[in-house]
Formats: sequence, structure tokens, C-alpha cells
Amino acid sequence: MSFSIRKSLHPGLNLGEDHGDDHLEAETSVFGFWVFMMSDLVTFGMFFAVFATTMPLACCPGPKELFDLGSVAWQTAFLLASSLTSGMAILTLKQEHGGRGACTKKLVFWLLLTVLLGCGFLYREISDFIAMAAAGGPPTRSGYLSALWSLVGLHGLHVTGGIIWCLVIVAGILVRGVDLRWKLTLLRWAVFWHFLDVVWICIFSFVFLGGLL
Amino acid sequence: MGGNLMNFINLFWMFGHPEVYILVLPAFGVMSEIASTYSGKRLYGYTSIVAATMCIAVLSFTVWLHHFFTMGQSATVNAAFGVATMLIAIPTGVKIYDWLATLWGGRIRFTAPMIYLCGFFVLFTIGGLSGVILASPTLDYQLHNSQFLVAHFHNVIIPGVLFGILAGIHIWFPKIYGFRLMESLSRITAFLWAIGFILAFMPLYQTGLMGMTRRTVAYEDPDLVPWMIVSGIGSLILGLAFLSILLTIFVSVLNRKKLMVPFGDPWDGRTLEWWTPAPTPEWNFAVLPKVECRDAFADAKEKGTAYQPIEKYDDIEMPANTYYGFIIMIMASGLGFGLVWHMWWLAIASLLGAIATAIIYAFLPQKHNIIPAAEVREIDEAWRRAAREGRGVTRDDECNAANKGLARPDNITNP
Repeated sequence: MSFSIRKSLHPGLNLGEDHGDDHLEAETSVFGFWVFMMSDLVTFGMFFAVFATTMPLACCPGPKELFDLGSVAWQTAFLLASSLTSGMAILTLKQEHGGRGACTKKLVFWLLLTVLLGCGFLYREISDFIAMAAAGGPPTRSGYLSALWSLVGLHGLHVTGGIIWCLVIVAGILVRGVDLRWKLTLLRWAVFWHFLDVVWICIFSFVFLGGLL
Repeated sequence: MGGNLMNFINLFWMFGHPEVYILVLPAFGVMSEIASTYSGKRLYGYTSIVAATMCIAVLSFTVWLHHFFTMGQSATVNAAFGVATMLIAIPTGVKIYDWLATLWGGRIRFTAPMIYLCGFFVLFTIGGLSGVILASPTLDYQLHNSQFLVAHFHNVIIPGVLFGILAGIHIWFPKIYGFRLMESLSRITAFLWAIGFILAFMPLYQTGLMGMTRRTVAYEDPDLVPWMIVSGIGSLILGLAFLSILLTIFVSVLNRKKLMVPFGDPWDGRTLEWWTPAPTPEWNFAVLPKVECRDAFADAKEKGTAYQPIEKYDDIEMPANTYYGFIIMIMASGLGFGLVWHMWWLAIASLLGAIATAIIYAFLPQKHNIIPAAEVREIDEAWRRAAREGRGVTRDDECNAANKGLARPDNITNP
């Protein structure tokens, strides 16, 4: 029983016993971050609720005129792939930094690949926003568009924050090595990044697919 | 086009209503401490108080719509939220009865916190009952945005939150600064708050029922004048109560030598924080206390084991102090201020500054102070030895200069 508790200290991917005390230290900070993430979930819930109460009106452009499902599919692909690569980064951290050698290069590679995919997502999303504004659908045009821009934009803002955070971690790892502080930061960042993926799946199905189909 | 003005008000109160419980639940915790500490008894019905707190926490998310019953949603929606609102009175009532039962047969001292608690019992209950009245959508159509509402929410926030905070300051002040606040002045302050509150806000129930709206700058009805004069006198007394707090702190600082409580347990406390000297050393506990029951410190005092010598001390690792959090707080305030007043340069500068500060902090080496076991031992052993040799005071001398923060058992049976 005590073994199984030690093995997994918090929801998500644990460091494992190879990391010794570092593994045990992870519980409070990662669990605390989960609580924080759940408060963020409430915020997204509010934005979704507001979006659900607004209707595209005949006066203004709606989903059919504004959404480019091809581009949205690309964004989804980028973000899902980046979730996979971030998972690879955490697996690298768990397995290769747990006393059996320290392959920092591999960790940095997965992290930078994640950043690249995140940037790809952001590039397509911002292009879509510009196109929407050009097609007569800026956020000021209708209640529906305000809600749409706020919800999708809030997610985009989170992705931007996640990218900056990841770059800081990469720089930190290169400067100071994979020490306890960066390990804990990586675990928390991973929770954040997967969370954004989950939110995006809701936005994709609810906002874009729901709007068009 | 096609927006909905009700969105904002819904969003605001979805946050705003749970927020008032974020205010009052910690104050309820203080009330629990007062009831048990100042009657020398275990808290009655601990489990039911915890369950009631959890009920309130959940229900607080289900009542936001009662802030705008008159906004035009259907009667069914109003009724559902009205019922949910009234339900909150049940767990709150459970807590009140638990606190009352805690006092029963205890060694009650009528100190400043107990005055606040008694004022809370009566006044908060009245405020809660007027809340149940407002929770009825039918009545709310009459009372909405009237002075009755103003009376109601001040009636729960002042005797609830404010009394809790003020009593809490009185209780834990010696733990932080090492000396008590003047008991006589604190009692006067407590009475000023209670009397000032009653005079200032009770008349507003009446003026509200007479039709006076809230946020009124001028009125013509002469019938309102006597009530408003009483209310004005009450607000002057509340002003005196404010000054009285400052005076209490000022006079207490001047007399701090007489009010010192170096042993750290001035109120015969029951919970762990009183098991340390006052002011508390930076490491809090020299050795982590082993907790085997609720009220572990009271239990140890009863068994006479509270100040037994400890054999083994270890080095204590303390995180180094840092001012980075404070800088980020200032910048976050700048961000909020800038956004509210549309000062975009301030908002952008504060946001970037806060992020940059956090990033810089992430790259700084994290220092730890190690306090050697010998130093901890010296200070902790001296405290324990003096406590074992000292006689302490019974509750009769709680408010005298003889109270040095060491409690002697009273000869009363603990029911």
C-alpha cells in the first residue's frame, strides 16, 4: 500500500522513485497547480457559458462566412501533436534523468519541438483572426462575435503564455541544468499544456464544428 | 448587435456571491476559536461545523441570481434561486447552535472577543433572517435596491466578517508581537462597534420599508428625517470605534512591558499555535509536535506533558526571504489599476514588468538558511524549562499584568 502511494504522488505523470527526494517534493507543488488549473477551468466554463447564450444573427457574418475548417483542422493537428511531444519531454525527464544518465539534449529537443508546434498553432489562429476581421467579423460587430473572440482569444493567450513559459524552462535547463526546481516547473507546465489541449478540443467541437454542422 | 446585458451581471454575481462566503467563512473559523478558547471547552459538534461549512461552500455557487430577481427572468428561475438561497440558512443555523452549545457550562470569560461573539450571535442572526426575507422573490420586488437591502448586507458583513476580524486581531496579536492589547480599551472598542452598528444600520430597515432607495443623495420625505438622524449618530459612533482601535494599539504599544506574554499562551489556548513562545521564532516549532487528537495542546496541558524536555533537535532549513513576490504584487496592482482606468501604458508596463520579475526570480539561485540544532536547542530548552518552573495564572488573572502567557489549570470540571 505504502509503495503504491509513493509511486504516484499526484494526478498526472510522476517523476518516479529513481528521482529520490525530488520525487517526494513534487506532491505539494503539482497538486497545488492542479487546484489552480481547476480555477482556470471555471474561467473557461464562464466563457463557454457566455458563448452558448449568444446566437449568430442575420445582420452580421456568422460561422459560415467566417470559419475556415481546414485551418482549424491544422490548428487542432498542431496542438494535439504538441501535446504528444510535451508528453515525450516529460517521459524523457522521468526516465533519463532518474539516475540513469541525464540526456538534457533529448529533453530540450522535445521541448523546442513543442514550442515550434505551438507557434504553428498560433500562426494559423492569428491568420484566421485577421481574416475574420477582414471579412466583416471583428469582435465589436455583434454579441456572438464578442463571445467568440473572447473565448478563442483567451485560449490563444494561454497558448502564448505556455510557449513563453516553455522557452524560459529551456533557457533555465541550459543555464543551470535539470535541477529540482526545473523538474517541478516542467511537471506543472506539462499539466498546463495538456489542459490547453483539452480546452481546445471543447472549442473545436463546440465552437467550430457546432457552428458549422 | 445581439448582445445580452444580463451576461455581465450574471458573470459578476457568479463570482460575487461565492466571494461573500470567502469573506465570512474565515470569520466563522475565528468564531469557532473564540467559542472554544474563551469557554475553556472543546468545540461542540466539530464534525457538524465542518459539514455545514462544506454545505455553505457548495450552496454559495447556486444562489447568484438572487441579486437580480427583478431583471426579468421567469418566475420558475426566480423560485429555484430563492429556495437555494433560503437553504443556506440551515447550515449557518447549525453553526450558530454549535457555537452556543460550546459555551454551555464552560469557563466563560467576558473578554473582548467574547463580546464580539455575543454581538455576532444576536446581530448576525437578525441579518441572516432579513436575508431569508430578501430571498423570497415576491418580497424582493418590493425591497430590491431599497435601504432594506443596504441594512441587510451591512448586518451580515459587519457583525459577521468585521467582528470576526477584530476579535481575531485581539486574539492573535500577542502571538505575533509578543504582547497583549489592552483588555479594557478592547472591550470599549467592541461595545462601540456593536452600538454604533445598531444605531447606524437598523434604521435603514425601516427607511427601506418606507420606500427609500439605496445610493440616494437627497430626499424630500420628512418622515425619513428622524431615522436618518439616528443613523447619522450611529455612524459617528462607528467613527469613534475606528479611533478606539488606533488608541488601543497605541496605548498597548506604550504599555508593552506590562502586557508581555513571552510563554506564548495567554488565553489557555487549545490549538497548536499557542504551543510556541510569543513572538514565535522564525522556525515556529523546534520539533514538529505529534498530534494524536483534536486540541492537541489542551490535551498535553491536561496530561502535564506540554513543556517536557525534548531529547533530539535537528538543524532547521528555512527558505531565504525574498522581496520578488512583493514586487510582482505591486506590478499586478498597477496592471489592475491601469486596466480599470484605461491607462494602457501603465497596464502594459506592469504586465511586462511582472512577467520579467517572475522570470528573473526563476533564474536566481534559491538560498536556504540553515539554523543549527544547537541554536534551536538553546532557545527552545530555555523556554520549556521556564515554563515547567513557572506557576502560570488561572483564568481569573487572564487580563492582568500577571499573565505572562503561561496557563494554570482552573478548578472546574470540563463537561
